[in-house]
Amino acid sequence: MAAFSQFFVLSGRGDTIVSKDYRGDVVKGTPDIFWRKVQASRASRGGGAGPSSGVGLAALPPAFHINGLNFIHVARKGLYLVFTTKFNVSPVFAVELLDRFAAVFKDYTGELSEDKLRKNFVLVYEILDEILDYGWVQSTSSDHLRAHIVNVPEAAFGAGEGSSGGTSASTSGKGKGGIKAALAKFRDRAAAAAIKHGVAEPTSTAGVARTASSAAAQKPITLEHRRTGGDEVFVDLLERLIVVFGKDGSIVRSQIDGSIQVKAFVNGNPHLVLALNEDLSVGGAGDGYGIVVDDISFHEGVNLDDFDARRLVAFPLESGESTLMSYRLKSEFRTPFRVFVFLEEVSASAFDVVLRIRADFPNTTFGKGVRVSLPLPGSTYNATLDLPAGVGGQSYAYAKESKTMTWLIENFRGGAEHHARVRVHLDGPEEYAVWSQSVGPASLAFEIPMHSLSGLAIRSLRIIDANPNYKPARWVRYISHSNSYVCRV
Amino acid sequence: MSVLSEANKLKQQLNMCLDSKDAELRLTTIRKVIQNMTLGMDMSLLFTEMIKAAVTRDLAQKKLVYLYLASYAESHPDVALLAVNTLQRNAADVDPMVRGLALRTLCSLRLANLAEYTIPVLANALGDPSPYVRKTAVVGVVKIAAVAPNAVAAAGLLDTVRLMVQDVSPAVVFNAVMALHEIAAPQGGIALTEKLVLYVFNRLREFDDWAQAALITLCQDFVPSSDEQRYALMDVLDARLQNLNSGVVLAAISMFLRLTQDVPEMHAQVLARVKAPLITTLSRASPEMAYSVLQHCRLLADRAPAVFADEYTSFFVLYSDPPYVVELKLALLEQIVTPDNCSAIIAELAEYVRDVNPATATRALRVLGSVGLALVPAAKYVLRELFSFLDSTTPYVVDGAVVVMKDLVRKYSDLAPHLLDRIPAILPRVADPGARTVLIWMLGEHGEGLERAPYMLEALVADFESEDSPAVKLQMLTSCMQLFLKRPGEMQPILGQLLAVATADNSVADVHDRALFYYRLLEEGPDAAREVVMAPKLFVETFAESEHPELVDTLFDEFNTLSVVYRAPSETFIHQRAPYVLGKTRFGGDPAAFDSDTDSDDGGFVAPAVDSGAPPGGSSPVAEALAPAESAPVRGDLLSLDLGATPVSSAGPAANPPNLGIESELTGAANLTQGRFQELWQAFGRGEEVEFPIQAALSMEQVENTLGAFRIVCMASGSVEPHLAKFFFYGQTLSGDYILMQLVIDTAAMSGSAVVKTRSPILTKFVSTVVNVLSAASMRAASAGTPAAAAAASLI
Repeated sequence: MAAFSQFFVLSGRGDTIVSKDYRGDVVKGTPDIFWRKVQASRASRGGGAGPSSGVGLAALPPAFHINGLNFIHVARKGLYLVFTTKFNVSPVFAVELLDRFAAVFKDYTGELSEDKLRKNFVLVYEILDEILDYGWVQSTSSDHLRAHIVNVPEAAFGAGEGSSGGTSASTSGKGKGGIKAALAKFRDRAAAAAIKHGVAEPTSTAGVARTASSAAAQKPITLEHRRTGGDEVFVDLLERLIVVFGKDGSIVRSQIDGSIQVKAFVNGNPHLVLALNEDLSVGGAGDGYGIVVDDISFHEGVNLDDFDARRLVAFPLESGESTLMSYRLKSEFRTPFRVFVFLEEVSASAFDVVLRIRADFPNTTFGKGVRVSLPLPGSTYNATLDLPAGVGGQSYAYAKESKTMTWLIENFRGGAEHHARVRVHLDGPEEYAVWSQSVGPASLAFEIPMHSLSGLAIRSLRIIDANPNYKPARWVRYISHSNSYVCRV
Repeated sequence: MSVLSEANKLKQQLNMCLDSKDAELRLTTIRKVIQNMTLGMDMSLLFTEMIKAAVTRDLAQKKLVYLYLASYAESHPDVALLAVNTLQRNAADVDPMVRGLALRTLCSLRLANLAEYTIPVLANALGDPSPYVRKTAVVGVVKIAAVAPNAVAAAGLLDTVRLMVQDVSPAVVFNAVMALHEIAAPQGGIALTEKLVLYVFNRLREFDDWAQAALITLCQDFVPSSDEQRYALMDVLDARLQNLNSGVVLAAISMFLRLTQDVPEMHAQVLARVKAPLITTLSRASPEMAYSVLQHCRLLADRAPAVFADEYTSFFVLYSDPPYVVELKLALLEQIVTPDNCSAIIAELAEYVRDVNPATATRALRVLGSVGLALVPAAKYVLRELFSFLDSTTPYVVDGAVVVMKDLVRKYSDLAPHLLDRIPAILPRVADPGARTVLIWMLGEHGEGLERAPYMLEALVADFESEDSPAVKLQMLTSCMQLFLKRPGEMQPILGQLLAVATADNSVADVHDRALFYYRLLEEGPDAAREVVMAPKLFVETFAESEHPELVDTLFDEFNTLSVVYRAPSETFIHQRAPYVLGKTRFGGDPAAFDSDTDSDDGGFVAPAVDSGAPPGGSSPVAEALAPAESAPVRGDLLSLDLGATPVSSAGPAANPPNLGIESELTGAANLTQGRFQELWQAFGRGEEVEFPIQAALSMEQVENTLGAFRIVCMASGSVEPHLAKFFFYGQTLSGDYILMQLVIDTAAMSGSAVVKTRSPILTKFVSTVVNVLSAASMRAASAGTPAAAAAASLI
């Protein structure tokens, strides 16, 4: 029986932001019970984690029970979204639904954040009222919910109709670019910090998984001057990469997790028809040609009548953001970057790390914000990085606390090769066998716009509507980015 | 104080703007009230004003007020009645949205005494032209059934809901099925007739993904009547495996497993079939999702480890994985290791030992050890890695490697010389007592193979007093003893010195005693000592499994539930199996009494009746198997309590007016299983007994509803004889104490008698409340009006 007793959202400091009781079968004070558990798990992780730190957020397992009451939660953007239930529900269903809540909040308030939820709390309660009744899921589609939401969101998109909706969408769109860019940068930094400590930062995977988090993905250049308040459809093909290179340069693991996401601002009931590569095959070895994905899944609403024959995917458009399909492949693909690391002893207490990176993709595109992180031995006194003379758009930073060298290459043209030499000074003389063991692994974070690593492509994008003159603006974007890209030394 | 003044201020402000035309200010004020309410401030003071504010055309304002009403009605049942009028009127509005809203709020008030006002509205709404209103009404039926089950049954609402399973709107169908399932929970849920299951599966694509997941789960225990039917169902499910919603995927997998569990060869195929979608779910997922999915993978791997053997890279740890995911991935790698993939998995595990945080490194080392023990072909790879860790500069890596090696040495004894050779270099560097113990154990157990062994022990003995760990000291004693028996010449002075310091050491009794014991053993002669200390060891073939296969079977039965995530069967954490046992379970010594019972609705609750041809409930073996186990024994046992001997209490009928305060001291969330009720009933000993006259016959439903309004919940009720109705009630005080009551209403003698047991100090108040409200209710029933109106009137 999939019935949830309560839903509530807590801030990273434990304040209840919204709370809704659906069944009245639960004791009072459940947010406090949950919060005590969070604090206990933070304390047990060494207490070093601050209240807003990702470490604390991630440490608590997503489901636990106390006195016959089950708590299931996800941590997103520094918030805890929590269900309580007395039933033995499906945890997978619950987590998926919590993420759906997060997505609906984002659709309506523009962003999932404590501030936005607080400012729009009446709207949020309206949503909560319609999404579940008596703990049963009623309706989760942003578009469908729209009919039942009367409060006007503050700085929302897609929720208003007519001209006012248009202008509010356009202003928020512009305003958001800046905030988003700043947030994305902040998050990158946070993620890098997390990697250094070898611990998880929950928002990095969760956030990146769902949307294109960078400014580029949110704000195509043409958007700025073309946006007239009219209807628009954005189709994003996102690919996240997991690659691990072994010490000998061999590929230990490589995987692409791709998805096609649609963000629409539309009226009426238009259908979206996407044509994918005709040589796409699913599962098995294929015939050696074309793109072979291991598995593929589709949104419930997708019409696949023409998928087998012509690789057409039809989808009824609704305003808001939704994932149309996702796919996964492990078969051979060209890893976009190869990293070579060489260690050279300089003196008894100093050594060099030579980093050489080659971009293995067409020179028509480039890697954006390529960030190489290299953990150095605990006995490192200081480290500097030498770049070849005359290069621009590159910088480095050495973080003393975490002993990590970070090398940033703003734009990495396809086919190009960059190298740098890291000079490491140790606290005192040390043997090669000792320090060489504690260098690395190097990890890369990057984004490659307008490039699909799997080769999957959107060959055409059509909008079909009863009104033949209905022509919303359409955008197709490709983004490949790193999820976990590691080279062992 | 500040909350009170804030509430007063808002009350004034609201009063002011209710009369003015300033809609904006009114909305802002109400919004402020709601905001305070959500922050946990008590805003109940504004109840009257808020009810006034409900009379508006402004939908935004209406919604806010409804939110307020739903939050406070339960704690203020007396005033909630005031809101009913407005809600009733709105439930007949022209706008279906207003109708739906009003209906939802009305049904969410959770008050039994409002049932009589709600039921006609519900009956109407079930036939509403708008699917939005209809689906809301269906849920409303369950909400009201929770507080006034008999009234709902009497009004025949369930028959209507049963028909609505065939509604045109999928949203209505979904709610109707869920409603019937929940109401039939005491019987194990809706009966899974062939008709119902096939009907649901035929329409499955019409439902949204959430409803699909819930409906598949609901139908998963259906047993197909033929193989064709089985294949047809599997066909429908197979398409669901491609769904983006992981909830749908897992529900489909779960039903797949059940459909094939008695057909072994198909079961194996299914396991292979569900692998890809499961891995896909894992790969696109957040850490929270990964956690749940990985737990399910673990369970599948428990039964069929080979399924995931070629997917091992999917379980490699990512830098972004939180600790709870890392833990599971390592456990999975351990499960699925085979001779084919072991070298890759071991190399990967070795990376975790080198690279990541101490907790992961230690865990990875342990997994390496288990892999080496479990899989003979893997041992050589494991050992190569372990030996390389002995050179590590990271202390916990060396310690962990040494500890893990002990078990390996015990299994692969030819390994001992290699480790022995390394001891002289390692021992001085190791500080961890666990690892030191292992090294010293090696010196005793295999010391004959190391020239320097006695000298190393000698050095340790010299430092005996500065050693902190008793475990290390104990091991030193044993090892020196062992080596003495093998190499007496070299060891004699060392052992002598050790026994001298150890017997003198009184800080740890164990150390002292063992030293003394060895000393006396040696007095018996070396042969006796050899017999004891050098007793032949058992050769370690396999190490005990930590988990029992029965647990795996139990968890398999609860696939796709929290049980899998907790790795514990549901009875260990679910206290409430069936939501509405209250008032529904009838007991009776005389079954005939039930058959003649006009408001009996037992049969009606169970039958799903997709159409009139559906068989009566309880016919499904699955439904019976799912029925809560506790319900059966309770009936008889409770009945065996001696009722007839209830003596007349001195407390007569109270003359003072009905005391309405008791509900404020009871919680609305009281929840007691029958088993627990019975335990408490016996534990509480003799209770307070009271007898009182009644003026007119009260129906069982009237009694239940009257007391229900005071948060006194009916556990069970029934007619013992036509004129004798018996009830078991309970309540829970805010401090958590239970109050239990057995009540008998005798309409022949026109009297009621109650036995109340509790440890709470509010006992007297409870008893007088019960007596007063029941007397008052019967008085009204006697004087005039319909019985139902009288019962409700007694509350105002």
